[in-house]
Formats: sequence, structure tokens, C-alpha cells
Amino acid sequence: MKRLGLIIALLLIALIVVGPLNALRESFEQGKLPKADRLHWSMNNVSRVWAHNWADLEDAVLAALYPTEGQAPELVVMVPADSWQTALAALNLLAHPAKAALVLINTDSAGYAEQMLQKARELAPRGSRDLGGVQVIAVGKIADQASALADAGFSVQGVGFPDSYVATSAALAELGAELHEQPRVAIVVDGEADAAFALPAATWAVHRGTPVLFAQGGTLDPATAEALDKLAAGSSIYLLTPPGSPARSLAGQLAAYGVVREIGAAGVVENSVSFARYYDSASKFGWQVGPETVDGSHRFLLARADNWQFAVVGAQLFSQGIFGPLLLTTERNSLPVPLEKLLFANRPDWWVTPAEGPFQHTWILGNAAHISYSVQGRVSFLHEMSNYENMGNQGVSGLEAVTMVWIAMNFAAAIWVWCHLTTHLYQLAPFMKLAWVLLALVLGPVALWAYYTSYRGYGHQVAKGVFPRPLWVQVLAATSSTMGYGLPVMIGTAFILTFRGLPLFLNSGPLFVFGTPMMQSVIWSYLAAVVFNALLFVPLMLALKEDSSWWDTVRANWLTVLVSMTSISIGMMTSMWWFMMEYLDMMPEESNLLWWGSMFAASIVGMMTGYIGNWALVIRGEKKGSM
Amino acid sequence: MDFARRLRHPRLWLFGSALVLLIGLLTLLFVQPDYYQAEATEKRQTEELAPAAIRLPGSNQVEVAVAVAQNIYPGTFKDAKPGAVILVPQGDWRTALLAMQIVHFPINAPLLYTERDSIPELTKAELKRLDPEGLFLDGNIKVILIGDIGEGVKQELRSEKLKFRELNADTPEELAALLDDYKAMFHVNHDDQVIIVPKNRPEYALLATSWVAHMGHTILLVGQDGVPEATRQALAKRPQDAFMYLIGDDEAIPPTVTSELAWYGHVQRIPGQTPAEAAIGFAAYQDFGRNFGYWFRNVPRTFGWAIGEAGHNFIFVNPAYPEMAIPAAALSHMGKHGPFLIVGQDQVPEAVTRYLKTVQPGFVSSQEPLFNHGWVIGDQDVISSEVLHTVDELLQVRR
Repeated sequence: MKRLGLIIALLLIALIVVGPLNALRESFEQGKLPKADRLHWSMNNVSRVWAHNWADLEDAVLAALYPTEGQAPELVVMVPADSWQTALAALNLLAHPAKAALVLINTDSAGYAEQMLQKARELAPRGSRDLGGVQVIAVGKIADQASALADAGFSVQGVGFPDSYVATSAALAELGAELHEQPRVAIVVDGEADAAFALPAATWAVHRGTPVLFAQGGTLDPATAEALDKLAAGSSIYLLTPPGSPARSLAGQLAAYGVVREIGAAGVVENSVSFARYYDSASKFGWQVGPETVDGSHRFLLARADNWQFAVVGAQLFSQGIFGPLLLTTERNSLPVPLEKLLFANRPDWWVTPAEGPFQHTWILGNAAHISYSVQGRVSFLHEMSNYENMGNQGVSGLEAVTMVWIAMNFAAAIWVWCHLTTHLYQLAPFMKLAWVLLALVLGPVALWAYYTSYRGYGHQVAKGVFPRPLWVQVLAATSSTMGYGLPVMIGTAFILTFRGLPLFLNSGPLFVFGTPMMQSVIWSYLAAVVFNALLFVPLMLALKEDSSWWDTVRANWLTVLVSMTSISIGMMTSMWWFMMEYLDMMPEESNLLWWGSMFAASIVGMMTGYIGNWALVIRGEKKGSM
Repeated sequence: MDFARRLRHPRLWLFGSALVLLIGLLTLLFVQPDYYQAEATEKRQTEELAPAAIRLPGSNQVEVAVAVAQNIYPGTFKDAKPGAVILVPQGDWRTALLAMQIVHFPINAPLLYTERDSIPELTKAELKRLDPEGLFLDGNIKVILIGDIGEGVKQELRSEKLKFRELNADTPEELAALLDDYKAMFHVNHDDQVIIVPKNRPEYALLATSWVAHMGHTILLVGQDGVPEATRQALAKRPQDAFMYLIGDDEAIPPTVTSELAWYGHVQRIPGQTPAEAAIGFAAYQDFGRNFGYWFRNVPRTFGWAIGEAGHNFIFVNPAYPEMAIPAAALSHMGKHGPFLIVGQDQVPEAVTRYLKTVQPGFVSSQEPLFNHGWVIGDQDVISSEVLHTVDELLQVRR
């Protein structure tokens, strides 16, 4: 009997210690993941423009933007596919109100005039009203082929210079000013550094028509200076380069043309995140992705940092009716930490109903060899709505934090009680000791207080563990001893039932309530607590004091146990019901920390009602409060 | 120095245990869960994309249901998997319609189609991919079979070790009541808010599904000739009055039926004399006020999408194919919640255009934008490219 009691008590300890950690299992163990057979690659919060190379991507993006002849672009901007600087600088031409498409022309092959002609015919631009009917703009070194297009009947304009992207970008800024109004802001990037540090400017340029100009390391070309000089009065210049890079030294020189602000971070990914977060309230420049905006409604473009053609071609997806920051990743099969943090921190939450938004969506550029299926799944998850109070899956809400602290206090209290029992109160019956440890594991500081109140002032001299106490402390000790096993048995039973799947007896009669999983969990927990206490733990706790047989002890005490457990359950079960079904709306799963939080909170209420029931028992002499 | 005695000192145990616990918890800070273990097969076809409207392709209902499930549950890690999967027989739109009322939490299950006696290959593969977690509130069942499903399907599920529950009834009205009872088991209460739909008019009835997938309310059926007995009994189960919302014109649900329903509580008809208008009527609809209260607590009711402004999502369906439209309602269960809007294969009804223009976002700022988004359900034979791009333009931010 003792051995059985000991085994069950130790199992209960193990369950209450390990049970809450079960919540962690959820995030570490992903279950079986068979290779997904997809009909399509869309997800709730992520779309993918599937492409093997930039030419594929260009076709897909242009098909999405200009699907039919009726929806043809007004203007086609052609740039050479070997100069990221030229392509990036040309994006400002695409901004609203221009309805313009960007195509890259592969200049490796000799006959690229033919390529240009073919693209112009496919897209059939209608002609830009702001540029006097120009249909095609050929930028940089391909401008020399403009005549071939003109011969074919297109209205063509060549812009820029074949061998200087700096001068070309200045010319594009000037042309942009014709299409839009004279800009008040400009972005300056380093043309000699890694393209990936400049690319975040792409979706902003394509959205707002902001000119992108170039520094060359630590030098500022006169062409750039001249372009900056043309900015409208009171202008701002945004220097997008990582801190400490040579171009940062130009800040003083640039100040001659406007207010200079520096943006950027050392890593490519961090750099794109810092641009996404950036906002200058003076000029309204920057995406300001962060908790300070009220509407967390965002569209993101996610591309590989090592493929500038993808980023530039894909950016035009954000030129019209949707827009947002370009995020860059360096990994195929994981989301870099800065991106995970940015998206997690901006996870949308709802107040009234999940139909209220804000809704977020990311567009991934490329195929699974560029950015994996798993990354896409992760991003979709990070955009998923959750209600503000719960902070969603994998988030830690206030209530969950309180639960965690409570669990930590439980552990600490149990260790302390155990140490104290084994050294200072060794004369207590062994199962009484276990009862206190178990109680501390559930009620933490409350159990510690009950323990202290019950035994303070008594030294080693108290023989056989009988403690003379005032009545209220007797009741406290009597309640604690019942709860010591009662609460863990209830929690343990509910845990095992929930873990294995609660029973549900479908019934349409008026007594359907008794077949519901919640009620089933309540009924079985209560019965288990009564049975285990009456048949096992109470006889064991009393064993050292009374020299009667087990069966006599059971018979003498079962009614007391029933009354005591019932009075505890009245508070515990009703408050558990309220926490789970009313406060949380629906019973949480046992792997959810809030399941434990609800149980612990309900246990405290159970102690209060249990105290009332035990008071009656102790004054009638049915139960001893001196152990 | 008596080490043996010192070792027994409780302080040492205390510090020791606390240290072990602390180190254990600290190591957790360095453990990164691996969310990147899943792989998928190469893309099969180029799908149709537009900035604000995405097509979920499928040439038949089995494919559409799978396409929708794949959109909602990427399954790349545990939290991206469903709780269970609902299987309904294809060729029976009423069963699918009624099944949508248990898609919502706590069940959290997409709907897939099956044959009566065997599970189609595509559905079977999807069931495997979804790998449902199991419904802890009902014995960890992984599949819910709704409607008339034969032994062959059950045998297949048993051999795959997928625990299931069957819910079937003789008539659709009784099935609706049974599903209402099943939901009541989780909430320990019958839902006071009920959508009443005409049992012979799928084009109206399907409009209820995106709302119940979003909110979990109950769908009950009525006929043109009166309120069926099963529906009456179900309505009477609410502890107090029911709040009934009718979808359908005066012919689909005649005023005589409305008066009969009024015996059971509050009745309102969602406006719209055609399916397309009723969809918009529902999208813009809201009813709120009292539900019940006592002493120190009052619970209000709110019902309806109430979308009259920018920043929302819509699911575009062709009501000529109700079995394709209905599973797509699950898109309102997670992610981009939103009502059904109705389009034809090659035309957008005038009323839909007008509504989309009303809720079209205007450009406010680059930092605080509001975006609309649309899902277009089915292949081009169901909804054409022109329709997709027409609604796309109306969903994009107006500049």
C-alpha cells in the first residue's frame, strides 16, 4: 500500500513538473512532414511569383500587372541587364501616375535590338501623356538601339550615357521630374558597394518616384551633385549605406543640398530591415514598419539579396495599387533572425473580430531553390492574425507570462518545502511531507504561507507530529492536507484525459451537458480525487497515528474526504469553468500554458471554498487539524 | 571537514536543484526550433496572380477543396496544421454546406470531398499532407465524416490509423440539427445566432458558409412550404430566444415561413433580391443588441460582416458551382477572413462593381495603407481571367 502510494505521489510530482514543459514540446517537435504535393504555391498570407530566372520573373510580373491589351502599360522602360545601378535608378519612372513597365535587356547577345523590339511589341505601350506620347524609354548603353525601335514605328526616347551609371541616374532623375513633380527627396546609395545594400530603395522609388542617385565610395560625382542641386527647396537626402562605409563620409558634402539623414545597417538583411523600419516625419519618407503605426496593414516583397535582377524586376509589382518594403534574405531555407524579429513584432492582432484586419501579405520572388517552401510557410504564419489578448500561437501574452512566473515560484516553493521538511520536520508522517511538497507544486507561494503558518513556532520537541494550533490554523492545515493530494490528482486526471483526447458523448437531450468534454473532465477529475484520497492517501497520511487497519481507516474517513473534496471542487471546478469557457472562450489544450494557468488559478479558489467545508469538519471533530 | 554530512545539508540540494533548473531554462534560450524541415514538390502550372487577387485553381470540387486546404494550412510545422479534417461525399452540396459550420475553432478543420465508397487519390494525399493534430475535445479524432459515407472509406481510414467520428442523419434538416448539437457539446450551449437558408437554393444558401467558418454560428434549413420539424426542434433548444438571420429573397423564404420562425425569436432577413445583391447585403450587414443577461453579466450579440470601408478581403465565387464555392468558405476561418462575393464566369455583376468601388481603398499615406485582397475560386472555366483582373483593379489602392 505504501509503495503504491509512494509511486503515485512521485508520478504526480513528475507530472506537475514536466506537464507545463509540454507546452515547449509543441515548438520543438514538428511531427511528420511528408513532402507536400502542392496544386499551387499560394498561402493565406504569402504569394509567390514562381520563376527560375529573371526572364521568367519578368514575364510573370508583367502578366500580373498588364494581363490584357486593354490593360497595356503606357510606357515601357528598357534597361540593360548587366547594370544594377542603371536598373535601380530607372525605377522612379514607374511610379504613379505613370503606368510603366520595366524590362531588362540582355546585352550579352549581339542582337539585343531584336529583343527590345520584341518586348515593345508584346507589351504594346499606349504612350505616355506626360512625355508627349513616348512609348519606350531606352536607358543607358542600349539607348543607341533606339533607332531600331523608331524604325518599327515606336515613339522612343533614349536616356543616359552608355558608360556612366552616375550620369545616367542623374538624367533619369531629371526625366522623373517631368513625369512627376520636382522631387523634394532623393536617395543616395553607393554604386561601388554590394548592390544588396542599395536594393531596399527599389520599392520606395517605384512607389513614390523618388530618384535614386549614386555616390562612388567616398567620392561624389559632379553629375550627382548637379542632380541634387535641382531638388526642390527644403529637400531631404537619404544616404542608404551601412554605417562606417566610405559613402557615409559624404554626409557633410551632401548637406550642401539638403538635410541629410543616414539609414542602414552592417548586414544586408539588417540593412533592408532598417530601411523598412525607417521613417522621417518631416518629409514623410520611409515605410515605418513598426508598432508605432495604428494600421499594421503591410505588403512586403521578399527576395534574395544575391540576385538584384529579381529584386528590381519584382519591385514593379509594387508600382501601382499595392506597395511596401523590400526585404532581403541571404538564406534559402531559413528566415534570417532580423526578418523573423521584424515580422514577429509586426504580427497583426484584432480587437473585435478577425475580419477587422489589419491583414498583411508577402510576395516571394523566385522558386524553391531561391527561397524554400518552409520559409514561405513561416512567413505566412508570421502574418497570421491573432487576438490581441492571446498574442497568438508562439507569442507570450500577459496571462501566459504570469503563468510562467507562477510555475517558477511553484518549483522554488516545492524545493524549499522539501528541504525544510527533511531537516526540520522529519517527525512528520512521510505522506504528510509529500502532501506539502505536492501542494507547493500547485499553489507555490500560497502553499508556502500555509506551511509557514501551520508549523511556525514549533521546534523539534513536538513528538509524533501533533501540533497544538489555533482553530483557524487547524482548518488551514486540514484543508492543505486534503488539497495536497486532491489538487494534483484532479489536475493530473484532467491532464491525462485531455492528452489522450477527452470523451464526448453526443446527445441531443436536455442532459447533453453531462456528455460534453468539459463536463466529462470535471466529473472524472472529481471522482478520481475522491477515490484516491479516500482509499489511498488519507489512510496513508493517518497511518503513523492510528493503529487501526486500512479498511477501518477508509470507513471511518470516507465521508470526511467526500465533504472536504466536494467543498474544494465547488470552488475549483466552477472557477476552472469560468476561466476556460468564459474568460478564454474555449478550453485550451493541455499543451497550452493557459491550461495550467487556469488550473492553478482555479486551485486557489478551490482552497477558499475548501476552507469553508473543512471548518465545519474540524469544529465537529470529524477531521484533525493538528498534523 | 565532513563532506558526507555537508552533502546531506539541504542548502546544497536547494542550490543544486535551483542551479540545474536555471541552467535548464537558460539553455532553452539557445535552442532554436527548426521550422524549416518541410519540402514541397515543384510547381505544376503557372497560376494566375494579380496584385490584389489570387486564383486558387481547381477544375472540379475535389481539386478546389484541396487547393483551399493547401492555402490555409501550409503544414510546414506543427502550428501550421489543422486540428482535424472534414470529409463529405461529393455530389451533395447540402452536406458540404452544413459541414462548414464545424470548420471554425475549436475543431479547426478544412473540408475535403470523398466518394461514397473510396477516398479519391488527391484527397488521400492531402489528408496525409495535412496530418491533422487530433481534436483533443473529442477523443483526439482526426477525421470527421459527415453525411452518407460508405464502409469503404471507413476501412481506408482505419488502415491509415486515422480515428474518426461519423455524423449522419436521414434528411438534410436533421443533419443540420445534429451538427448544431455536436457544436453545442464544445460550447456547452446551443448557439443563439442561427442562419436560416433555403434548402433548395444553393446560390443563396452558400453565402452563409463564409460567415459560419469565420464565427462558428449555426446553419439551419427551411423549405418554401414551411419550417421542417427538425429545424423547429433545433430552434427550441436555445435556452432563450434564437436570433435568426435569413438569406434569400421572398420567393426562396416566403413571408409565411418568416412568421413561423418568429415563434422562436428574433428574425431578420439579410437584404438582397438576387444572390449577388444578397452577398453584398450580407457583406455590409450588421445586427447588434441584446443577447442575454442576468444580474451582473450581460452578453450582447453582433452578427454580420459590417464591411463598408477599405482594408478587407473577399472571396469571389461562381454560384453555378456551389460545391466549389462552399469549401472555399474556410478561407474566412483563418488568414484573410472575408465574405463571399458573387461573380459569373465572364461577368462581374453591376452591384458587385458598385460595392467594390465603395470599399476600394484610397491612397492615404505610404506608412498607414489599407489594402483589400481577393481570392478567386476555381479554374478559368469557373471564373475567367477577365473577371479576375477586373476585380483586381477594383481591389487595388485607388491612386
